[in-house]
Amino acid sequence: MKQDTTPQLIVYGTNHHQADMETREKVTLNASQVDLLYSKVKLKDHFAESLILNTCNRTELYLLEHQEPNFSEVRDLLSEVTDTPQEIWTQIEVSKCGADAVQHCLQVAAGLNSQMIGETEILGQVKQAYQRATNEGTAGKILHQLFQQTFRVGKWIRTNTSLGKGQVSAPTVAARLAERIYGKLDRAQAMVLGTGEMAEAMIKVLISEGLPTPAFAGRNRDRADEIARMYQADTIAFEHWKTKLPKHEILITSTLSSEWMLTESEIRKIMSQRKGRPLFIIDLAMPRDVEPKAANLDGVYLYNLDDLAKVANENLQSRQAEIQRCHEYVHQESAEIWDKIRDRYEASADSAVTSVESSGRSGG
Amino acid sequence: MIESGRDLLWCAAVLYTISFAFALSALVRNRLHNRPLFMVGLGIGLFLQSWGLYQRGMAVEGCPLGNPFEMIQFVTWSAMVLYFVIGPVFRMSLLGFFSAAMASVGGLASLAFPALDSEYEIGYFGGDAWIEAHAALAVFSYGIFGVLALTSLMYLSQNYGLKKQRGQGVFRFLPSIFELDQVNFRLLVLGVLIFSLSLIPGWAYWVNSQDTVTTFKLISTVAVWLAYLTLLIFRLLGQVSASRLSLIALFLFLVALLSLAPVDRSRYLPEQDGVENQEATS
Repeated sequence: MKQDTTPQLIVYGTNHHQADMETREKVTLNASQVDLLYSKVKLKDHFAESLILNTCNRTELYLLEHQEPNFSEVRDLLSEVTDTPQEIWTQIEVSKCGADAVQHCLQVAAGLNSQMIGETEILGQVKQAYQRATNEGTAGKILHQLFQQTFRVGKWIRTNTSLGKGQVSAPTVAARLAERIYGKLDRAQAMVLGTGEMAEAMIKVLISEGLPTPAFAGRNRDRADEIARMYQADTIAFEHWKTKLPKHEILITSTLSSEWMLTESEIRKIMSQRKGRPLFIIDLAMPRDVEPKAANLDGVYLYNLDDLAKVANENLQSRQAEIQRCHEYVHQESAEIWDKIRDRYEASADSAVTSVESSGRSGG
Repeated sequence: MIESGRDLLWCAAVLYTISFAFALSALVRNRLHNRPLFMVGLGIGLFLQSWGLYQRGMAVEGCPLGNPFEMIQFVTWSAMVLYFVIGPVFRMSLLGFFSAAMASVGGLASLAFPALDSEYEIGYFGGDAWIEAHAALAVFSYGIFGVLALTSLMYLSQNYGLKKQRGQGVFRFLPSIFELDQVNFRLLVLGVLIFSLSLIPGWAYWVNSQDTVTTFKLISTVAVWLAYLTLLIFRLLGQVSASRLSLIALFLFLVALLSLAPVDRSRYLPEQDGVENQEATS
């Protein structure tokens, strides 16, 4: 059979543009679900290449298919792995193919599709996803080409445009918010619950802004001790963190728990012990750790990832011209990259046909 | 209408308004105003207002607290004096902006309605220094409660910004809610203390001349004092949250301002003591 000379490159999934936080909590993949999805994708022969990009704001599957793209099949896969009804996926899906998929990939890596437009963390996350796909053996020639070009474009935008200028990261937003609550950060005692990278990145910035050394608590006591040692901080036994919380002003939480770590009624009790002192809670977890209705309590300032992004994007208007310039650059680059991918794919398809024909001649 | 000092008070109100507009225009552009220039505007405004009230005092031969116009002027003057005193101590960003707004609105509104500046008898305190001290201290405490209302408004604004995830514009420059809560508490203590002090000579006067003070005046004054005292006690006991305290302080100040009208209407009446009415100043 002659291979189709047009590469069927698709991206399917969802992100913060389509799905609100509550829905994202249901469809974000945990580590074992990523493993499961890779194993299922590998079983499908017509998926020639694949890559899973899974962050707290996006769950996307990049695929190169040997047949006409069938989005419903990918939807079935994600629905099965995340144990989420297909109807939900239909409502929140992002599905692109060909040049549009390339453009989407570039926009994501450049931070143009991020919740905090211009953030640079996403490029690292895309690199990690690519590394994982390479290790899994699911990234072949086309995805290699796509992602190498993606990194080049992402780096160019970061170096040659001022997209990141005026852009504030989640930790910086948190620091400014803490100042609006407590004035000086040295007045606030913080507790970090969970040992995730985001919490660590946040605490690093807050300490550099004057926050006293925080206390760490985590289910994994060894990991919590390890991080605490890095900051010469104390560790709180996981079973005691709630009783210690009333003495702290800031709680940064980023556990992997699928249940609320802190409910509204628990926070109400904690607030009654605080004699009117405000409590700043930064919930970086996905799914969230803190019951959202706690934000309505007097003296409680609860911020999740969406809330931090909302504050960070307040100055978007003044950056609009540069964002537009980056979009135009990405559009232009994606067209060129798509052409190259097609050329390469056609060349490989032709060589495959030639090799089949020559082996047929020699054989017969 | 009493003409004495009005020109100076007009100039002061205009200067407060210009200073307020200057700070507001910077805020609209997401910046903080030029502080030295702003302070010069407010400082000259305060000087002119003090001079205007002094001329008034000389003309009425007593503390100029004889009609609603003078009371509003005295309250805004007290608030502005307090700003110049506590501003550098608390280093509260935007307190000047809010104080200028209050002085501007209060000043212009009181000047725009001549009926508020009704004529009254010269020396209507009857030369009694104690009752004059009572009136001056009481109205000065209203100035403190006025600043408390401003810092409460700042607290509520910052709280709103934090709850609604807003960080740009005015929210960026407002002091922290922690600092605002502390300042609110100190102003509440100071206001209640001075109001309580003002009631001592007032009470002594009332004991000796009960017929000159109407029940309405007595009740409204004591009610305002009790309300602020209760708020302070609740705050000390931790029974009222910072945001609720701010809301109540804002509401109480409006009530206190409204209570000035009956207090003025039932002011000391010389004919009841047999003191001869004197012609109003003009």
